[in-house]
Amino acid sequence: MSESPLTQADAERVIERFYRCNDGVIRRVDLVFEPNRDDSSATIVCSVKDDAAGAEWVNVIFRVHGLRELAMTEGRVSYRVLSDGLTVGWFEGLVFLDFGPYTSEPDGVGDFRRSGCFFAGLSATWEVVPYAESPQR
Amino acid sequence: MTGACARRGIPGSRRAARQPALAYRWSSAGRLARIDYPGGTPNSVYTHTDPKTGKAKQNAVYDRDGNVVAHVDFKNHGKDPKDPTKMAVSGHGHTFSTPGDPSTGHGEGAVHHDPGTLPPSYSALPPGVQPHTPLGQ
Repeated sequence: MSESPLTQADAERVIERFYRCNDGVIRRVDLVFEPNRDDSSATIVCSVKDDAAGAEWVNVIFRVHGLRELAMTEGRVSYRVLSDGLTVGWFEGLVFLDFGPYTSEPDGVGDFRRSGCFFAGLSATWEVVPYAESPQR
Repeated sequence: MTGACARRGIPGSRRAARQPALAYRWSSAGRLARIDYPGGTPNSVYTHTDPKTGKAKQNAVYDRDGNVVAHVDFKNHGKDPKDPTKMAVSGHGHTFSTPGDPSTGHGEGAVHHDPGTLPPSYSALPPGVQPHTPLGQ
């Protein structure tokens, strides 16, 4: 499947297709910092259940382009397992992909920035690829 | 901001039996993969609550070495890939083949434990704390 834009109009449908990424696993994160921030990006590969595939496991690749903000934590605290799923929001001209939601009832950008694992940029895309626990670049 | 968590020992743990129930807090909505028991309670269960609603999102179960070995989720996480006719309802659990690594209890092939099939202490909630989603829904 090809890469598709993640838009406000279809984000809910996309996230619901993957059961909001509940019980998913982050397999890989790639960050690119370019001199021009518009060219910076984050790529997050997750294993999730896909309703379009009969709830079978697939990998979905989320790409955040024009990366402006991020937070990641790994150590005694981990966000690899998406026990609270994925939350998406649009604020201040940015799309926020939050893999460690602070609350199930976010009411503004502040709640997204409290997350220990989020990526925000000018735009985002998603792409389904075959399931793999050690995805290659 | 912090998420409030109640910490208590698993019944049957000799050391836990000497410890009173404690109020415990950790920063943000992070999921602890490991705790160090600084004078605390090995073999314990932490209830991770939503800082806004106060409702329980997840119980995390730790072994005698402080490694997380199971989660009980209090949200509905969608269809069970092992049996797409079933749902991973509130109260379902995950056990981890590698202590301290929750990803070993998630992904393709991982088992959703139905509510009530893990030790009762795994899903016990502190007094007055309600699950995010009613159990079994």
